[in-house]
Amino acid sequence: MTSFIEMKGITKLYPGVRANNAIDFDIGEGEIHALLGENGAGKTTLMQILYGLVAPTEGSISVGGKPVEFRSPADAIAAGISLVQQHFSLVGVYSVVENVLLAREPSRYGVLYDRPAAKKIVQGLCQKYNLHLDIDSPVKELSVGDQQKVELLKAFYRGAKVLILDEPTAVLTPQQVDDLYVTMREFRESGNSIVFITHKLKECLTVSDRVSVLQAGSLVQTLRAADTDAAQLARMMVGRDLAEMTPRRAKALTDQVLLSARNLRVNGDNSLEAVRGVSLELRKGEILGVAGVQGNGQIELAEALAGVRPIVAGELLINGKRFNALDRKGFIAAGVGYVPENRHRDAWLGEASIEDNLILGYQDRFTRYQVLMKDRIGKYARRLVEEYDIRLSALSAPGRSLSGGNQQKAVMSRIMSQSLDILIACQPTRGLDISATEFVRSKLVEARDAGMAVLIVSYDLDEIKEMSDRIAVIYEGQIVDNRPFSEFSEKDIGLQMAGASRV
Amino acid sequence: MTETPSNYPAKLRGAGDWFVSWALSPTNLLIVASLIIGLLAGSLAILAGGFDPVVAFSALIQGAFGSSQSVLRTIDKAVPLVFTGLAALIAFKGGAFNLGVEGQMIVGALAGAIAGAYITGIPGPIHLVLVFLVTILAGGSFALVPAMLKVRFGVNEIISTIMLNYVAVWGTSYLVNGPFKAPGYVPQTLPVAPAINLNRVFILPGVNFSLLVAILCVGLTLFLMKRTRFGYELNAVGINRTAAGVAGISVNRTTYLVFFISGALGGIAGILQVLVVHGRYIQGFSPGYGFDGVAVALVGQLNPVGVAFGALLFGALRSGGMQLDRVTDIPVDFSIFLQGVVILVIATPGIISFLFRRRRATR
Repeated sequence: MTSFIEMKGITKLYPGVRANNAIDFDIGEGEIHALLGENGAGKTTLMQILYGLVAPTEGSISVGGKPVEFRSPADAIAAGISLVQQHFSLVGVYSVVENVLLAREPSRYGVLYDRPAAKKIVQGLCQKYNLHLDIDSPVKELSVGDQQKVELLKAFYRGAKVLILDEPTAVLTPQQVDDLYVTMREFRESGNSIVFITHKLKECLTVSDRVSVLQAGSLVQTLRAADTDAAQLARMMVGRDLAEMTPRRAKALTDQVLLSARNLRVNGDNSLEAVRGVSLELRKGEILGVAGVQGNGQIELAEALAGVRPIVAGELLINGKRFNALDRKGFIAAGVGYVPENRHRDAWLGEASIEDNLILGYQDRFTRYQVLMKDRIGKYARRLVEEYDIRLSALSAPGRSLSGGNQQKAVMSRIMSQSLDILIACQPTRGLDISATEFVRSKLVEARDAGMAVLIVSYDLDEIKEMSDRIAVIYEGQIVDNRPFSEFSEKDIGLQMAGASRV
Repeated sequence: MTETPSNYPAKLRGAGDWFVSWALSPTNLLIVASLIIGLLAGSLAILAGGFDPVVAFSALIQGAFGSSQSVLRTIDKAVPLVFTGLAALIAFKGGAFNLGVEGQMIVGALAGAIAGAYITGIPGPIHLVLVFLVTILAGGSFALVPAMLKVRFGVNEIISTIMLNYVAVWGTSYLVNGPFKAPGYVPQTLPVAPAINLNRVFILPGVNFSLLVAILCVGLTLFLMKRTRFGYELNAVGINRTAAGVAGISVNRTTYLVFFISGALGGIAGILQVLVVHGRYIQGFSPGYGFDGVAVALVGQLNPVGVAFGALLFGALRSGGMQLDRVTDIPVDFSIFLQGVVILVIATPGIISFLFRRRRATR
């Protein structure tokens, strides 16, 4: 295998942080190369350097044997490198076709947009790479998984020879992940290469040819996927042996209902009914896992239970008190914590300081006579940063300066640190690395043991099985089954999630 | 890594260090660079017009700061811009564009002037407080109109605030030419009660009452933005409405309050012109203070103290421009031109940081 891209001795210094430390990294022709590491290990920085977004402090890059210096992404794209970031850059109101061809549209007579030709190009790309998409619909109406496909199409259309995917599976359902693998392999078969940034071991072993492990900004080792296993990779990534996590169930289920919903009906963003008559009870000291394939109304249900989405019909009782109006403040006062699925959009202030972000939603608890108690906030923020190991340059730095995983940790930390009766958590470990996932899960269990009633929505069945004392399976807006964990067999859940058996 | 990050906790360093690092912070360097670019562009324009830049700038500086009289004139011109700048700033921070400060200012000023002229028989201090209350209520309420249109019907506030300026201009014009017209040819109200005419009230020799109110408002705004829960929530709404809503902040209530405060500040700008300068409401008293407020807020980098400096800069350009007109052949338009260039380069920091980035990338 010949190297197509070689990065030598890449070092990147940020104030107070050595993000990359003399890293050697190469990408062969026709390979999928996984870049594995925990949040903040320097994966994204390394790839931003390759993509021309960030200038390295030291080090050199060569493409096809020739040294290059990328001053902007345009240079990298011209050299055949494309990056699909975690946050997509798409124009919501444009169709798939228009987004893919944006700024490089085929034209007639040099000026007229050639609509039929445009459609044909995108159709061709879809076929070639096995992507199933409604290419005429506006991008904003697509699911996250489909939006990612549009980003891939963009890269293909630009003639990418090397595709960098930054944690592409973080937003996908298991089925969508499998589809993505097919596309990735297809891309490789045509002699192209992929850098696959991830912190999930299983994934990188499944799909990649080689794996490079980064830890704390340095390259630990590059090895062939066939020569290694999950345990070894985990050790390299974390820098220590990981204790096998054994599920800890609640000692005994109680009967004290803290939240009860009866016949709840809730509409989705498109005004169609997303939750169609759900009844459930959430008890003190239990974790209820809502299992289901993405898009079956579980997010809308969680939002309604947390008071951020209006309830169309039905009844919601919290601690015996009726809650109906869209009154998030009242829900917060009643002790209902909420971890939204999309933290970046629903729970983060990019332009406010990290300190301010760490009290968002609980600013009332740090206020006396309308004035913020800065000393208390500072002390509290420092405690959270330490306890949750949030990597930052300064508490006064803007929220957007935190890496994705650290933003997740920050959001979890501020919610978990409040005294809550009820926690509604959507995808609580989404985007977190092994250590942080382990940590958040143990915090959830701890809170449960202290008497909190926890509802977890997750698309990751493993997570549901590991965490739940009780499982509710949701399908097309209805709870099709709801029983204690011990009474479920794995096959049951899978079938019910797919809608095979209605109870 | 030996360099200290600029956001390093200030407590851990001496006050002198703090000042140096603040003074050398990227934002401030950016402002200085912008001013220099503005000066260079201005010089080119003067040269192109066949004049001597040195003469022009010395006249300008002479006119703005050359004597105690010119300093006072600069302050007089700067003070109204402090209020309108703060008004624009509050709206920006709360995620809204209030381009209607001009209208809110004249509505507030007229309402206050009427209260000042027609209410009689109460002690001066109480009357003064009352006039301010009427002004704040009138200016603030007038700003609630676009807020309501935005919250209830989703009307873009950029358009509604601009259009409501016309409503304000012609509405006040009707009142001051009709029911509240003082006898005579000029469209103006009766003078306010002598007890509340602040023309001769000085806090320092030659420095009138308005400056005190301006400094007070800068301090209050700073405190409001940085230290209060309302400031925190306003900021959150301005940055990310969705996240603010999820955090239990009432986005609508915050929007109403933001507009009310913004309009009230506009009204205060106007009533001080009434009480301190003219002694009554005169139609067309404002040379566009409300409109300049947006530019002042941007030049001040959306920081209350920055707004004060921005207003001072604009005031200096205006009073310096008068001197330019008096002692040289250079047209006064030149200082307006300079104002424009400064706004362009400071209010669009993207241009400069882009230039810096490119240079760094080339190195």
